[in-house]
Amino acid sequence: MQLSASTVKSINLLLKVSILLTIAGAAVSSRLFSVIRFESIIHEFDPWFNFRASKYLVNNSYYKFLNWFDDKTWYPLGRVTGGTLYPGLMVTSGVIHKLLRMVALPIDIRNICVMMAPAFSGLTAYATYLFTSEMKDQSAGLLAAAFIGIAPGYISRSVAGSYDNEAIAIFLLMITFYTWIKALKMGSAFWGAVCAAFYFYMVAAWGGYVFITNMIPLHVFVLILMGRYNDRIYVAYSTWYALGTLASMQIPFVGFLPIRSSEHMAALGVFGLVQLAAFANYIKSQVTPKQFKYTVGLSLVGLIAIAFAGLVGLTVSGVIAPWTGRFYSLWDTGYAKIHIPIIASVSEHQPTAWPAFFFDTQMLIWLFPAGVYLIFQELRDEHIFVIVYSILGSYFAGVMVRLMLTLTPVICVSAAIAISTLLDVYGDFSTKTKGDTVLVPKYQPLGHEKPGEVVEDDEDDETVDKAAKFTLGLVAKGAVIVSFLFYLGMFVYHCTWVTSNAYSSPSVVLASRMPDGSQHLIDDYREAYYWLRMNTPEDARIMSWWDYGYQIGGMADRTTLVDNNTWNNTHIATVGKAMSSSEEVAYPILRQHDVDYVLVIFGGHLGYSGDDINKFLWMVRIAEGIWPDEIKERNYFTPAGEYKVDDKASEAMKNSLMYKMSYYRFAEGTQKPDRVRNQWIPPTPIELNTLEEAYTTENWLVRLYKVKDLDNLGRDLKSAKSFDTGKAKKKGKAAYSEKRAFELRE
Amino acid sequence: MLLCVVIQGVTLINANITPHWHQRKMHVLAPIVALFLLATTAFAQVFDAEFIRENLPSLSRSKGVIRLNDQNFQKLVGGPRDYHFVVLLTAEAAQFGCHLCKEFGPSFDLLAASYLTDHPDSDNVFFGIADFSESQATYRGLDLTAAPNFWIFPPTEKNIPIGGEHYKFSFPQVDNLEVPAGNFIREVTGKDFKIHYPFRWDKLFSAILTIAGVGVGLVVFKKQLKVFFAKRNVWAAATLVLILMFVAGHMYNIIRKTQYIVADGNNNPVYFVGGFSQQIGVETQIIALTYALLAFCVISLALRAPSLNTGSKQVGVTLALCIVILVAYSFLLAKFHIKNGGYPYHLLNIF
Repeated sequence: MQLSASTVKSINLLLKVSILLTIAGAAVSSRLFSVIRFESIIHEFDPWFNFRASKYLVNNSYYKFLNWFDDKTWYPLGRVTGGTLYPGLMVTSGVIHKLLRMVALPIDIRNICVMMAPAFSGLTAYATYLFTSEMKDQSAGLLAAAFIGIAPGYISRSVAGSYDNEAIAIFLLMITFYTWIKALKMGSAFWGAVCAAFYFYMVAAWGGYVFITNMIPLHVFVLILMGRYNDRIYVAYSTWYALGTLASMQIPFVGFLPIRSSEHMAALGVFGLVQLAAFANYIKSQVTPKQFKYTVGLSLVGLIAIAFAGLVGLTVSGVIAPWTGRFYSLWDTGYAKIHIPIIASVSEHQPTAWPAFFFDTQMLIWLFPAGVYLIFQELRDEHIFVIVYSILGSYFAGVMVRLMLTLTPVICVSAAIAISTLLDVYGDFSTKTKGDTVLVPKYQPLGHEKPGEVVEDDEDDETVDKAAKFTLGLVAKGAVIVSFLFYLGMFVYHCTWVTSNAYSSPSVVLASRMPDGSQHLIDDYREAYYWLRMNTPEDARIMSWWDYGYQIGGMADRTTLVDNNTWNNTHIATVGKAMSSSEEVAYPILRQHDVDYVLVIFGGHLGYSGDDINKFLWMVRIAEGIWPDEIKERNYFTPAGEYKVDDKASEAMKNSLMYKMSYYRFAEGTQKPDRVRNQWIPPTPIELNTLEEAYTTENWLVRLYKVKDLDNLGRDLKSAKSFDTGKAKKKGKAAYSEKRAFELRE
Repeated sequence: MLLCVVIQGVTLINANITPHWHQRKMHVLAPIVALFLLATTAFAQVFDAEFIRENLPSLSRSKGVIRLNDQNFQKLVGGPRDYHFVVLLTAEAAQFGCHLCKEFGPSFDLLAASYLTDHPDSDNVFFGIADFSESQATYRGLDLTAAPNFWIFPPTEKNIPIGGEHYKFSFPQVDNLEVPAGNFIREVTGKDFKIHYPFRWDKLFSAILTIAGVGVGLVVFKKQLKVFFAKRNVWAAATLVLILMFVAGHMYNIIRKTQYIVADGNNNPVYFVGGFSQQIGVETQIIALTYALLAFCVISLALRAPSLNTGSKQVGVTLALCIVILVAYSFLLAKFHIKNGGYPYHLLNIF
């Protein structure tokens, strides 16, 4: 049966659409594990702030949101929140909320926030499809879309509830890259403007926009170096840069950075270079080659000298912002460790070991280099982009775990190109073969001078061999197709397993297994936060390590001293100092900052390793950075250099507020094991004079302490306490009062 | 007698291992030291700043650093004195294996020389090094069990026993120790000075040589290089090498300064260590090679196999490549199991 061309076309379209819809469905549904297992809840730390900000936006106007001064964080400093956040995410959910309301679908803002990341992952799959289609063809595009839809490297940041900037940023990244390629290919100012518009959206959404700001100029720069400059590049780049930069400066948090900070200088430099190249091209068409060579050589030297002098001059005079710490930590890997403990302390900023790459992309990781090599076969202008992207992306992902996220798309694209090339060659089961061969090459490998001419043979014994050759071909094709289909199936299982096991925990609620195999939820965080919400005055100030600042703000709705927006290192160091010094030193600090409650996370009872004692050294280090005379990291180790919490613990360790709060009442009477550090806590009672225990959750995971008020008689709290307890004993009522106290506690 | 452990994990001297050596030496030394001390106190020379300044060259082991031993330690440090004395008690001899001592020694010399450059008249601050091999009695007297010790003795009026009042410097875990040590000296003595790093002529020289060499090479092999760098495969190879290095965790090795290879209890080499975010240098190489092999097979399947000129060859090569991929991928999964014990998927169980 012969189908007409138009029928084939419409079937093709139908298939494409249904495949893409299926992929989007798979992408969304594989991100729903946590909603099904737990509930529709915001995850982790940063999302809680984004959620709080979104609520603020929905309940107030947009302008109020932009001018939001938040006095419930960074007490007593406050935070100019509106001017120090990327509003893209909140505005997106605000707009969706409004639109749904307009069509009479009043969905709670929380559900919109929870479902934001999965919804956008479907769009990411589509953007990746478009991008890859530009690189090879639509079949590769569909494969790439399927890969990005389920690759754990991307899922890790986009499961339901992970309401973070990255949730929409990867979609914006891919769509910006796609529109850039489109603009470059067509030399179209329209596509350049579209690219700038998406770039603007990206700048509004995520600080990682700097990646695009450097990728596109680098692509153009490499093209110019390769001698591939043409007018299409000029139009595309000039449009994108001019519009995109102006637009990005409209975001309050970005402001004048694009013309001042060194991270944006590459884009500016390449903009100038493109103008020069255009000018040189014009001159070239007007003069003889010899004159041209002379003019260009001379002006090039002059320009480079002027540009360099200008750059140095501006940097020295301070007009251009100095190189920021984050930038340094990417290039000079030792920098962060020495100079910025707060950057070094975040586990997301740690380098990536190979298992993480494999875990996040499985078989794609070894298809990735193969795909890049195949791209080298054609090496069109847009292919240069993928090559530059893959080198830069893998470098950054190697330096910082969290940048695995920006590498994953290009891995998917390259792997899709590799698989689709294999399918082109081996997936064709029609009987037509040329001459003696059973396979038809897609590309000629580099170095084969006469492509296509090897296989032309005479048609002598064709009839005899045809059947045999067909079988032979079937064997070869079958082997490749079957094995790769098997690997792909395994990849799907791998992705599901990783998503389900590693990336679907809300980290606010912990899941554990009971001995009989049933699931047991540990909900201590929320227990503590709701206790704060219900039992403390509305203006109570809670001190905790900065990790929990956003959660306290979001769930307990109380004022915090420091939070995950680590803008003020000194303030964080103050908290670190209070936590790591003795009660006598810490109490004045607590009083000065009007602290009412102190919150610590203690995992020793449960065996939860992400607790404050394990983070304690970072508190010490950060405090030491500001007060090197008073806090010394070395004092918290045993003389043998070990980090101990048992009876061998150093004096500074035992006297620190953090140690006391963590182990207060923990080992009463008999020694007890700390299940995280596998050490035995001595039964010596821990004495707290300036704090009193306010609340401890079911599994001892969160412990809350109330800061005592000053003594009514003006004594210091230690002597007041010893007086109280001493008096009771003197009167001979010790037994009675002790028993009484015991009964009350129970 | 001397059990030296430093926070950086340097185990210096364990007396239990070589008790005889110390004791014998002590027997011989002790009377001599006692005699000498007696003699010197009898003809006591007042060690004030003036005297040291005049005799600095004869006392010094390097520019501005006095070489301390059991004989002169008490005289210089025991007081009364009108100067700050900056002392490094160290153990640089190889048998103690004290890395920090060796690392910090040059920094100390640099600090002393820098100080002397800014204060040529020494301004009542002196630097001294007491090495364990020459000052065991002092170490014993100070009841020291660890090295290195970086102390500053402030001026004092009294005649104080060995040790006396002093400020201790705790070695932080950073690379350039001279910076915090310099700050410490500034703080305690109240004298300001800059650290004058010596100009590295050797570095300048090697830089000039390298640039000249590269330049000459560029000029001489201009044509060949032009041809070489115009080749697409050269760039493809460079790109792939970079990518493979990065995705196999090369940056992790550099940043964490991982060991290249480790040994197990029986002194057999271990090529893969456990732990999801742990890795050693050799792992990166093995994994990068495995990835490279797999990628090579895929590329060959896509490009080489179809362009072979007979059908039977094509089939043979294709099947061979499929088998290599299967084996290499099984190897990869097997190694990943070391990293993540709970990982449920296997291919061939042959590794």
